[in-house]
Amino acid sequence: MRMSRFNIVSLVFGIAFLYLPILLVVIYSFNASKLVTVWGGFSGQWYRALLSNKPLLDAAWVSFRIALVSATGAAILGTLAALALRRYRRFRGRGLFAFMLYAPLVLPEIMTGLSLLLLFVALGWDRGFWTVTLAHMAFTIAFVALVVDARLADLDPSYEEAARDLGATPLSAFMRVTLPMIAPAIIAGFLLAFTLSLDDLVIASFTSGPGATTLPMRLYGQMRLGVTPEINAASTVMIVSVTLIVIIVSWLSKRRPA
Amino acid sequence: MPLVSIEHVSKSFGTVRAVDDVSLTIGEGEFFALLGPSGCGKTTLMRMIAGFGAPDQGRILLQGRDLAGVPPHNRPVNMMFQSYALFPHLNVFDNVAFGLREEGVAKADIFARVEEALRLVQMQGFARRKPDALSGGQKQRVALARAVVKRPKLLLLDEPLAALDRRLREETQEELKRLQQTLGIAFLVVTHDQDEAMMMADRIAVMEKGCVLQIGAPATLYEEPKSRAVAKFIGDANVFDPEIRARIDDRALVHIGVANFEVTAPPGAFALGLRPEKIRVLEQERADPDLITLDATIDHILYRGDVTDLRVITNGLPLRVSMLNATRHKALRLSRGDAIRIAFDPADVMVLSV
Repeated sequence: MRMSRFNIVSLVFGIAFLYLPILLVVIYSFNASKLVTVWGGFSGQWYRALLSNKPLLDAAWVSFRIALVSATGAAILGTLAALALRRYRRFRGRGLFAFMLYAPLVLPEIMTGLSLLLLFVALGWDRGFWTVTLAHMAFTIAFVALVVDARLADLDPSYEEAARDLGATPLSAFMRVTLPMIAPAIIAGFLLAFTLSLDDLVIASFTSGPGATTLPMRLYGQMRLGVTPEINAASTVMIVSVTLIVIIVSWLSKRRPA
Repeated sequence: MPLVSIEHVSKSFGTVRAVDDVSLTIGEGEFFALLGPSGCGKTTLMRMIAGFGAPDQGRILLQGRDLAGVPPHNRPVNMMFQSYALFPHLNVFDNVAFGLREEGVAKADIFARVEEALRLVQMQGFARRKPDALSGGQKQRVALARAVVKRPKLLLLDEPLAALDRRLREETQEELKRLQQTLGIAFLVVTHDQDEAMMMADRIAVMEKGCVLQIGAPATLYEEPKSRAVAKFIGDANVFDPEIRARIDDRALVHIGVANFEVTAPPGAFALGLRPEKIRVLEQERADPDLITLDATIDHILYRGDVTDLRVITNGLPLRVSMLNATRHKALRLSRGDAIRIAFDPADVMVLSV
């Protein structure tokens, strides 16, 4: 089917609306001028400056560690939750469990953040690395469960039955047959949780404490003092890494189980 | 002692009684078939033998030992799934070796036994292939090798040939039968295809709506069906509701169409069945006096090469007649509307419960 002129125009506008701001950030990150909105020639100096910005690098390292730990936890718990919902079609409170599992998908982040803050305060926990990690785990479990559940939905139960029939205990059948077959979905869920954690500003702001400033928090803090090309450079690095992860996720989800 | 005894087994799903008070036995080395339309409970029954789902009532015994509470992985029974369920992430060798590794068989023995199993199904050269790179027939062979490599006491086969095309199905029927004789292990096949069951099985249980209607050798089921349902399900049959003219003990004088004859029947109502090939089309006027002869008109001709199926009407009664085309051009001499004479022997008439 050929595209009409109207379709082409709306497509171009749509893409421009979505990606022009991002493109501007990327372009100006190579700006030689110190002024953000005036092009002063090509330069990689802001990327060099980035490498010597100790607080920013520290924040990036904190974000990476939080993302790694929380995504690992979310991948394990989200997979178990999806398995419970798929395997046991009827148990007391199944509906409530499913609702509670998927609620964070639509819950405003500010509420998640605030409620977790109140919880941590009530428990008397010092806020820092572990509170942010727990908070991120809590809100990304739903995403992992969603991805893994979709894979389980079209997994023929005969595979696991065949393994049981051939002498495998329930655990062994799961480890040797089901797990390898749903592994791509678990990895996709893990990467999704990883990027969500890396991107998060709101929940981290509520649940973080001294010494655990994440990269989005640091960037936001710096931006209040004025946007510098250095922030553009940092944003570009984040955009590129998140884009790569999203590409891997979509490739993993599309791949036939092999 | 039979290998498997199923004693008064029932199983319900919600309000549906999938298996209803079924009792049967399977002998050592026997080729047994559960035959019935889809939804008759045959697969549910087989899955219970494998350990997937427990009976609500009754017992399943294997060599006299009650299997209740024994999980699937501890039953000396293996199953070939209808979908084959070959593990897509493992190659052919690892698929077949799966059960042996779970059992903890020594590495060298695993290699030898997998090779042997693959040779048995003529798939030696495919050990390194992934299931995705196999044809339907090859997958079926690998699934079979995987199921027999553990040398189970009983092999369960769920619609083993349903996914194959017709020609391959016929070849595979013979191979399965041969394999079963070579291995000497009992096979339990679930199928909805009566030809398949008849050709392969030593004995068949015909099932309908969760109940076993009749158990017997293929020839017994065909020639001596007990009920109308079995007569109609196994092969083709003309079934009549006769008029009973007189009864002396277990002899009854019956009347169908224009014919009167005697049959041996138990007290109560009964139906009569007559196989289409037991009705002869007479070529000359005179026939054996023991036969009952009738005048008929040809209503429809279905030519099948080896036989010609005729739909004839005799005195308002429609009949199916199967005529063997024993000589060339025999079928060509008949056409629709022709008046013919047909005959049958009262001894060939089957007495059926209604």
